[in-house]
Amino acid sequence: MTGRKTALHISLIAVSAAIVAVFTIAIRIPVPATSGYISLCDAAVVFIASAFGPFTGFIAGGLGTAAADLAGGYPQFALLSFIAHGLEALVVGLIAKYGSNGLLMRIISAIAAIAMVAGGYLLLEVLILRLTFPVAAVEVPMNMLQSGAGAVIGLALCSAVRKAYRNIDSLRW
Amino acid sequence: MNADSYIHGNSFYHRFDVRPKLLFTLLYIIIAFMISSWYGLLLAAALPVLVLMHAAGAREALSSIRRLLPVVILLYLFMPLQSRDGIPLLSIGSAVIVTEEGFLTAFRISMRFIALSSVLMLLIATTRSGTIIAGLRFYRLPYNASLLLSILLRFIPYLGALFSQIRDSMSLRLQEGKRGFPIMPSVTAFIVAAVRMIPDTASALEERGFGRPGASDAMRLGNAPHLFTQFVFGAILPLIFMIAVR
Amino acid sequence: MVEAEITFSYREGEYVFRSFPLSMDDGEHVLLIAPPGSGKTTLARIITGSVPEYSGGNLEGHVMIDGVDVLGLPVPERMDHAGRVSQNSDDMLLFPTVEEEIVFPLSNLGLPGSIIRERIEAVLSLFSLLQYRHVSSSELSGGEKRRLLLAVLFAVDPSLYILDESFDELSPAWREKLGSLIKGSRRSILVLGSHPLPEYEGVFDRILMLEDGRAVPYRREGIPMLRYAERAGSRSLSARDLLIERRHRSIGGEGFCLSVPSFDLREGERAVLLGGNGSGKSSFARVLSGLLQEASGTVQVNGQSLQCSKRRRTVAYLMQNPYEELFLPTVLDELRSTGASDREVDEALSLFGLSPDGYIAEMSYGEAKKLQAALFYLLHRPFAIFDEFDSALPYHESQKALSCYLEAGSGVLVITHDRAFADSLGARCYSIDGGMLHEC
Repeated sequence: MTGRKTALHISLIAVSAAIVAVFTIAIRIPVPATSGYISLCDAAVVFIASAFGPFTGFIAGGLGTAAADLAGGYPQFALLSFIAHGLEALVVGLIAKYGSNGLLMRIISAIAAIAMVAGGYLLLEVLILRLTFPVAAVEVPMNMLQSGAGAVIGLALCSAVRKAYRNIDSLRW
Repeated sequence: MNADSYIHGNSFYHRFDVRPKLLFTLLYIIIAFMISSWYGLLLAAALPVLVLMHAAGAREALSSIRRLLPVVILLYLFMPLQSRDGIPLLSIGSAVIVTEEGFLTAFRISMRFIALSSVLMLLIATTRSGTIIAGLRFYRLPYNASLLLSILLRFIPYLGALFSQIRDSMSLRLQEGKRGFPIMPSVTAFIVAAVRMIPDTASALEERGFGRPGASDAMRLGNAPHLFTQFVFGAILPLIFMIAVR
Repeated sequence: MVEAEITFSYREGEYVFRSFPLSMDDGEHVLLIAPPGSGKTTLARIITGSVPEYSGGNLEGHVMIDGVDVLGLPVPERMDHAGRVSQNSDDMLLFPTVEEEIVFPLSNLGLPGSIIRERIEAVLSLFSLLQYRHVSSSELSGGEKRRLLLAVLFAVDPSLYILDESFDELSPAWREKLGSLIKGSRRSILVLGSHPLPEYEGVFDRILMLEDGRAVPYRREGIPMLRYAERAGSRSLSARDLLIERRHRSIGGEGFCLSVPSFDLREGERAVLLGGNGSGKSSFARVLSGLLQEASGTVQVNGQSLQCSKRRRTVAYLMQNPYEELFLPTVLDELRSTGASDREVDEALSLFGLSPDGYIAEMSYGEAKKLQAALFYLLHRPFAIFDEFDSALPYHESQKALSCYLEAGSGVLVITHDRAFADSLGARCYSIDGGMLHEC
């Protein structure tokens, strides 16, 4: 039985992380105001964390975004992404696990996601990459926008997917 | 979509065994953060870029560097916000805009950033990801973790292709007058399709003998020619470099 | 020696097998033909262990292989007794490269490195995959993936091989090769198929079919000719001097190229496209339906060339894998998403034999194919392409779906590699040989 459990856990985390990576790389929404894109990676991270719990979320969210950085040619950000998005998933997952399922909790989840991503990258860029504070701060508004939009979409996805795939909770552990 | 940044080649850095290569990369990054002389940092940033040009071609090296430019440019643009005291380099009227200290700080940070980024790019451009995982196994990455990474590498391109198929077929069902593809339904369908694969994948793992007692570990790296020498070079070169330019 | 008796149900009272008996001698090669949805894949999964361990359900009975009841063994320990090649190759591919896919089961068997290397060499060359050793499996074609899974099974070499529709995605040459490999094997081999294929001829010791939950000797059944009330339209879809190119990324320039000097299909008309796997049948369909841009040439309706975005609204493409075209939770949600009225939706439900509240995620492959047909039926496209539609449905069901489209006046192109089915349509026939599409 332990073998089966381990096999399921490995598959769950690997597929979840791949979902995060594909969202990061392939699904981009154009932002006309800045003529740039925001990626939907936070939607996937928030979805995985709320659907599969904090631990799966942490590993899958971290690995998925780090893998996307490596594949996209930004290896220097892989460790930062792992930590920032991993923590984002951990916090959102913990809120989903122990909090109630109301609107207030969703708002708290979204705020936590924004804080983890925008604050996480800011701190890590200063602490690990040793970039100067103003340079690291340039990204903050964009990261807030991206993670905020991602959190809203991710929470919406959670109910949409649950409607289409009733067995989803059996995978949670 | 591809999860691997490997660029096929036969340069000396391609042939550098992954185990000492990982050690070398780690030491190089640590040392880049310890060097403080300007010429040492310039060298630390230039070396991996030059090797990348040699190993992966000038085009690949240039596009790698181009990805670093926004951060580097910002570093110099924000110099005025850094140290305001010290020897003025540029001033408008009585207001000092850039000081020598400010410039040196920006220079150091940007060189470190380039050194760190390009030595990592060099690693992933010259080593297949499967080989990197095997190398991490040598440094005691647990078996299940390496299995997880391998499966992740298989699923990224597979799910990437799945998503574009779903997007395509969504577009076949559009009614007159609509453009693009509907994001929420496509994304939901994609997640459902991906999540449905989890039990099948777990089952395939077990049907292929995952968890059998007495399994051998054939994925472990074997002996390579001159492995010891490569290790010595991988460890000693960065140290010499540091002592020389410190 | 294989001796089995199985009773299985996913839900209480809905039996897939009821005291289903099966016995095979050592080294016997048996073909079991049964219509799609009859439980062939479930049978394969029960023996190797993924059912009921990963699916739930009630299983009783035994499967004795080499004198051991494998149903009593943990899944990983069944691998030297029985192994399978799954119908959908992607279900069982786990690793980023071809080589790792084969190394994994062999090292789990506890074999020493030297033997593992020998076996890898042997099976890679047996299935002509040596050049793909370090290639990502996601870059392989359907037929190559199938060969990879076969290579894994032959490398593990269990006592019982179960090949679930394994001839399906292979080209004619590879089907013949697989036939001769089976013939020459000392192992017991059970092949599961839904339709008789010419390549099965002379390969098997016994051919069985499923009837009322029992395996009985196979009786050949003829396919009735397709009948429907013809309704011709005025538009015609055509392609002129098309050139279609696709490249494999990691194997450099070696890709594939298809040229189509001339192709025509009128509304209300039926045509068949035959060709080996990897010959470009699906790529041609993607170009006609506007999902893939041609390298050169034109696709026209009534002589006017049509851009990709217009083609998508003119040509329905029923992809080989129906799940790629189904997105919403239930059958009703899907059908309503076409914008059809309730009356039309009801009509489609009864025409295609669907139940409105079925959950897509819990549907069988065949059911999903029927829903896919109902969906595009409601979109009223003047032309429709059915890609391997018959592979998961009984002949009469495939024919019924086609006649619905034809009676509604759509022009229909059927992509298949089942000659007998193609003949039953009485249609004009195109085929692809050596990178060229032509009328045959």
